Amino acid sequence: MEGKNNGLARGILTLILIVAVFSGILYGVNAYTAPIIEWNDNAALLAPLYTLLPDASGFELLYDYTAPENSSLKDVPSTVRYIHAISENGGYALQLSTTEGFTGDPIDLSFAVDADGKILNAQVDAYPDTKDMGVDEYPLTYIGQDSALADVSIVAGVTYSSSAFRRAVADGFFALTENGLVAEGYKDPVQALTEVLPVVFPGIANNAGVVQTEEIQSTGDKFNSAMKSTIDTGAAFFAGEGDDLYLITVNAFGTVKAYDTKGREITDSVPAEALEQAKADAAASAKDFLKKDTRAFKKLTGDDMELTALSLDTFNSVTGAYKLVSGGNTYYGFTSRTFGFGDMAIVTRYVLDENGAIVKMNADELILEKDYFSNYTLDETSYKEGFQGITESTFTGDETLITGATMTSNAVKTAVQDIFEAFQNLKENGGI
Amino acid sequence: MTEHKSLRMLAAENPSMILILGICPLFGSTADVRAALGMGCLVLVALLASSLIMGLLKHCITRQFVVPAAFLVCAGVVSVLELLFHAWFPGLYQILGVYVSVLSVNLLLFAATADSCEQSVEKAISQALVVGLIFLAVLLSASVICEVFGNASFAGIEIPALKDYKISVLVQPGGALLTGAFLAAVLNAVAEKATSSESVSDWFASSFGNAEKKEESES
Repeated sequence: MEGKNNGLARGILTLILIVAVFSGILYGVNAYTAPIIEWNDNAALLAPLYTLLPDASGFELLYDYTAPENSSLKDVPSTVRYIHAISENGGYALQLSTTEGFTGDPIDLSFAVDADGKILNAQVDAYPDTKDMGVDEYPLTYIGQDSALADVSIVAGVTYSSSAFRRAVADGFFALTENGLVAEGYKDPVQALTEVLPVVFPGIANNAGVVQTEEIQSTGDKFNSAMKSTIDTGAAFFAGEGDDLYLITVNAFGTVKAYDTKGREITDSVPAEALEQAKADAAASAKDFLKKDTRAFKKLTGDDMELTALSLDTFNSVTGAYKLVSGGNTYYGFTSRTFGFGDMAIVTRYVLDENGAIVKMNADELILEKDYFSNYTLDETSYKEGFQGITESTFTGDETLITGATMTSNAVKTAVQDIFEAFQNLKENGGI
Repeated sequence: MTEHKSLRMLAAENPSMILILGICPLFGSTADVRAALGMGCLVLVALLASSLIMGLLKHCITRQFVVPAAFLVCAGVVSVLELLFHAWFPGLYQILGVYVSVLSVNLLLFAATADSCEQSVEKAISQALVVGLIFLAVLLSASVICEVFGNASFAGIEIPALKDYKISVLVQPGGALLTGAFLAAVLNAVAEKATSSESVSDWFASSFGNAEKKEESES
C-alpha cells in the first residue's frame, strides 16, 4: 500500500517536473525565437515591396488593415491592406487585395507612388483567376499615372479582373488623396463623365462596373458623343464644351437626367432642348419590348390578364414595369435586362403582389453560350420556384446562386435587387 | 500480451502504412518535396527527442503515468521544435502551417514516446530512428509522386515535359490519401514477401541492422 502511494507521489512529481522543465525551456526558446519570428514576419510582409522597389532602403508602416485604429489615416477603403512610407523619396507603397475579379478569389497587388503621386511601379502579387489579363505586362501600363488613371485601359476579354485591378489602384489613390498624402491628379472632363456614368446609371454597366455601350447617331448637333446600352437598358450622351461637359442619361422608360463631372444632378440647369434631343435620340434607338413582355407576363399570370405599362425614374436594369390585373387580383410585373456571361443580356421577369413579394419569376434564357456550357444542367423549374415569396427584406442573394455559372447568378441577383428598387420607386411615386 | 506488443511495434515501425496512423502530416506536406523533407525531419527529431526523454524518465514513472507523461513530453517537444522551426524555416513553416502544431497529438509520435518507457534508452532511440526514417521515406516517396505528377515540378522546379499532363487531384488531400494507399500496398506486398513467417517489425529491424530487436522477437 505504501509502495503504491510512493509510486503515485513519484508519478505526480514527475509530471509536475516535466511541466516545469518544459515551461522553462519554452520560456527560453520563446525569448530566443520571438525576435527572429517577428523579423521574418516583417520581411515576408515587405517582400513584395522590395520586389516592387528593389533599391528602396526601408519602409515605414503607416496603415495596417488588421489594426486600422492604430493608424492616423482615415477613410481607407477595405481593399487597401498596408500603406508604407518609402524612406528615400517621400513616396508611398501600397499593398491591396480585391475580390472583384472574375472568380471572386483575392487578387493581391501592390504599387508605389512618388511624392508627386505618380506611380513608380505596380505589380500583381497573387492572381487566382483563370483568364490571364497579362499579370506581368498589364500593371506596367500604370507606371507614370497619377490618381486620375487617365491613360490606363481595361483588358479586352478580361474586363472583370482588369477592372478589379484598376478599381483597387483607384482605392489606393483614394486613401492617399483623402489623407492628404499626395495631391489629386487632373481628370479631363470626358474621363470624369465616363467614370460618373456607371455610378449614376448602373443599368448600363456590367457587374464589374464596366460600361457596355455602342455608338448611336444623334439626329441633332447637341452632343459630343451618343451611346446606347448594348442590352437596351437606356442611352447616354456627352454634351457641353471645354471643361463644362455634362452627361445626359435616358433610361428605358424615357426618363431623362443630367449630371456634371462630379456626378451631381444638374437636370434643371441643362438646356431643355438638349434633354428633349437626348430623349428623342434614345427613343429612336430603343427597341419596343411591350409585345414580348405582354406575352411573357400572360404566360405567368394567365391569358385573361390586363396589362398597363408604368413609368419609372430608376436607372438600373429594369426595362419594363407593368400593372397586371388577373382574376380580380392586382400584380406588378417587371422586366430586367442584366449582363450575363460574355456580357450578353439575361432577361428575367418577375411578378410581385401588392405587398412586394415575388409571386412568379421567369427568364428567357438562363444558361447562355450553350456551346460553352454544353454539359451544364440546371433544374430551371425548381430554381424559379425558389424565388416565390421573397421580399426585399428577406432576399439574401443566395437564392440566385447557380453553381458553376457565376455570371448568371450575379446577373439574376442584380435583377432581383433592381426590381425591388423599382417596386419601391413605384410606391414612393404613387404608382402603387 | 506478446501479440499486443507485436501489434504496437508494427504500428510504431510502419504506422502510416500499416495502421494508417499519424498520417496527418501526409496531407500537409505531400504537394511539395521540400515540405515533405521538412516535415519528415521534424517528425524524426521530435521522435528522437521525446523517446530520449521518456527513456530517461522510465524509472520515475509508474505504469499508470506513462500516458499523461507521454502526452506532456510530446506536446513540450513539439512546441519547442515548432518555435525553432518557425524561426529558422519561415517559408516551410508557412507551407506546413497548422500541421506542425498538430504533431503534438500525432499518434505515431505518441506511440513511439509511450513505448520508450518500456525499453532501454539506446533501444528507444534506435527504434525512434527507424520509425522516423521510415516515416521520412514514406513522406518523401509520396511527395515525389504527388509533386511530380500532380504539379509537374520537383522541389519547386518546373518539369516542362509534364506541364500538360498534371493530375491535379494528387496535390490535394485526397491525392495524398490515394498515394499513401498505393505506397502501403506496395510496401506491404514487399514486406510480406520478404518476411514470410516473421513479422513486418522483424523485417524492418533486420533491414536496418537492428540485430538486437530481431533476437528479442525470435525469443
